[in-house]
Amino acid sequence: MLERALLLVLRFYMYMLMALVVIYFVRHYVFSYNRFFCRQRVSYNDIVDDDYPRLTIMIPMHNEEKVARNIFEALLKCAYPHDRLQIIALNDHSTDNTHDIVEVYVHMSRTNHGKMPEITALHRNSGPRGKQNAINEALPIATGDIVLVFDADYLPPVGILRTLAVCFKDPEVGAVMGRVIPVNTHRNLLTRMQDIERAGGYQVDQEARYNLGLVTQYGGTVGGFRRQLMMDLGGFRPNVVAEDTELTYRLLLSGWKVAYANRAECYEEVPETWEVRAKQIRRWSRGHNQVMYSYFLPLLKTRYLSFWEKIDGLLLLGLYFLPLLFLGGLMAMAVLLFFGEAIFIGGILPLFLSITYCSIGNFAPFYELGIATLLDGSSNRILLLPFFFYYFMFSLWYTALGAMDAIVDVLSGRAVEWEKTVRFREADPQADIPKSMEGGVA
Amino acid sequence: MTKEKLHINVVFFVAIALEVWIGLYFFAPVLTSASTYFLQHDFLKDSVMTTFDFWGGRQLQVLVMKVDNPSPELCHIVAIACLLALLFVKRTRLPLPVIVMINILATMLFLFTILFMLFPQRFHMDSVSLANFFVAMSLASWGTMPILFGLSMAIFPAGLMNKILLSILLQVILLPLFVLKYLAFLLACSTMTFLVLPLAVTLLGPLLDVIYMISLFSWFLGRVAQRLRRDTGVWQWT
Repeated sequence: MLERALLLVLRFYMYMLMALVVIYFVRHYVFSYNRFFCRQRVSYNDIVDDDYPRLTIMIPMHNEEKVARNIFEALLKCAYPHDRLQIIALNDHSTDNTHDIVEVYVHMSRTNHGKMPEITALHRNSGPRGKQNAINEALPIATGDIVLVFDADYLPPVGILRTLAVCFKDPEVGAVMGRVIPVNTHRNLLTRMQDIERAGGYQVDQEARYNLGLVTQYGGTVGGFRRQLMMDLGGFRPNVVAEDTELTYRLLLSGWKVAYANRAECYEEVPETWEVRAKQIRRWSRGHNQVMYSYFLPLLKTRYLSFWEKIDGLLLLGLYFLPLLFLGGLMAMAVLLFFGEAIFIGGILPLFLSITYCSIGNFAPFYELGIATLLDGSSNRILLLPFFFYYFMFSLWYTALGAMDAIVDVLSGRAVEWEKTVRFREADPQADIPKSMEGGVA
Repeated sequence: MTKEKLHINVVFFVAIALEVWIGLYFFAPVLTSASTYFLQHDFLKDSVMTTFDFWGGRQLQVLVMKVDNPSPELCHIVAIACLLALLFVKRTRLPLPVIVMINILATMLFLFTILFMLFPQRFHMDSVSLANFFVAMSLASWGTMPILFGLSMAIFPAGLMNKILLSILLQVILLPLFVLKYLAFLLACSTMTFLVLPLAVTLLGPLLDVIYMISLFSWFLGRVAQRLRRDTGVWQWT
């Protein structure tokens, strides 16, 4: 009797799981279809306007001596009126040379007042560490109407500030997100695969969601938000790992929109070793699932979102939980096979595995990756697609571990510790001599 | 490619899918009897033939080999080995994706072994049902892959004939692989007892099919991308 009940439950679980992966498959297929065949939404950066809002750029930094100089240089070259630009370096408990590098630029800004943007430093040596805590502390000293955030390893191109800022011309937009492109793609197989994965995620997934008026996601970097709105909302939640996803849902539930600017391309350094990548995926999954537990029901109840926005928001929330369910499905199959359900498993297994791979594989199905590489105009890198199977299994495992971490977080109420992703860029031997000083300010 | 062309593509791939299923209905019995003859004659001389009820009253000939249940001692050894693998594989210098694969396989094998240790009398599978299981899995793969492959290719700008030929090529590849996989599957199970079943299914099952389907797909996309680049070069588009 007990055995029959168990088998019934497991079969039901498998059917539910199958239905879920088919829904994700349809979702991604619609996105891919949209990018090739449907009318694309007009981008905000086609707006021609010389009334630039005052911007504050925040750069969270923790032991960033390898990359700090690069981001300052890149930002100083950005085309944006200097008198409407403020840069705040958030030096968060650094123990390396970051403090000195930041101070060099702060000093340079003071001595070149009017010729270059105002650079301010917030050195944090006490209190809890973390990007969200640092930004919260910096909000009162920010003078811009709009706050843009760039991680220290990012290399913003010249036109990005305007492209991102102009999105806020729309009074409904509370936050904006730009496109992230790896800068160290050529390093190894892992970085190449991350490049293709990012392309699928932004070029197809985010852009299609933006086109269709669904839930676009603020990613915490290469993006920004309205400062006053953020202060009214109480700032970032300190105990959430994925503060960006949390902000996205908080804005949506408050009636605001998140815009996506595909042309605002910014370069980042992606992990070059599997170990670092594993930690990153696990952290993302943990944070994303924490947000899912908090916002699943409120999202259903909100009156600010349409039916399809709610559906997409829920599917987006569930994306990092699905791998755990999938691994559970594999185990359920082993049990069903043991108890004599061989024909059922034999019939369902190919459909289950192939559709799962087509729907949640590497967070963007392989056809989505294909479309992204075509839209980006590349050809040879698409030949790496077969390797993605191993990457898929790898991501699946660590995403599932992250989802379990989030469950333990909820059950035990343990505090979340902030972790920094390891940087791989070689330290610049001339880090203390800013290029802007050598060649003048752009 | 226009929307109209896309719709034509989708209609064609649905037609191909129907054709695959009709093909399965007519050709699967012929194929299985031919492969059965080939395998029994050259490789699996100890095997016996049985029939598998296909749909619509059709029957497939399937080879069966004697597969034993694992002994309790073997179960204990495998369970300990799985635990050791789960605990210590992380400390080896193997690449992390390989470690992850070992973790997943070891977890499944451990679960299966524990079930054998706790409920040995509840294991209902025998040599015939094992063969039926593999055939059901292969037929389902054969019915699923071309549709997914077709749907994936449908949204890309390339000629319909190219896509149809590739879809047929995939099915042609699936045929000999089906026979080879079955050979490997039977040999693995008959030499290493039913305990090896989760590993055999994972390594020789649909996940393997997905890999060569995507290999073919990426080759197709590479060609599409090269053609697009050539076109833009001709028109001096930058």
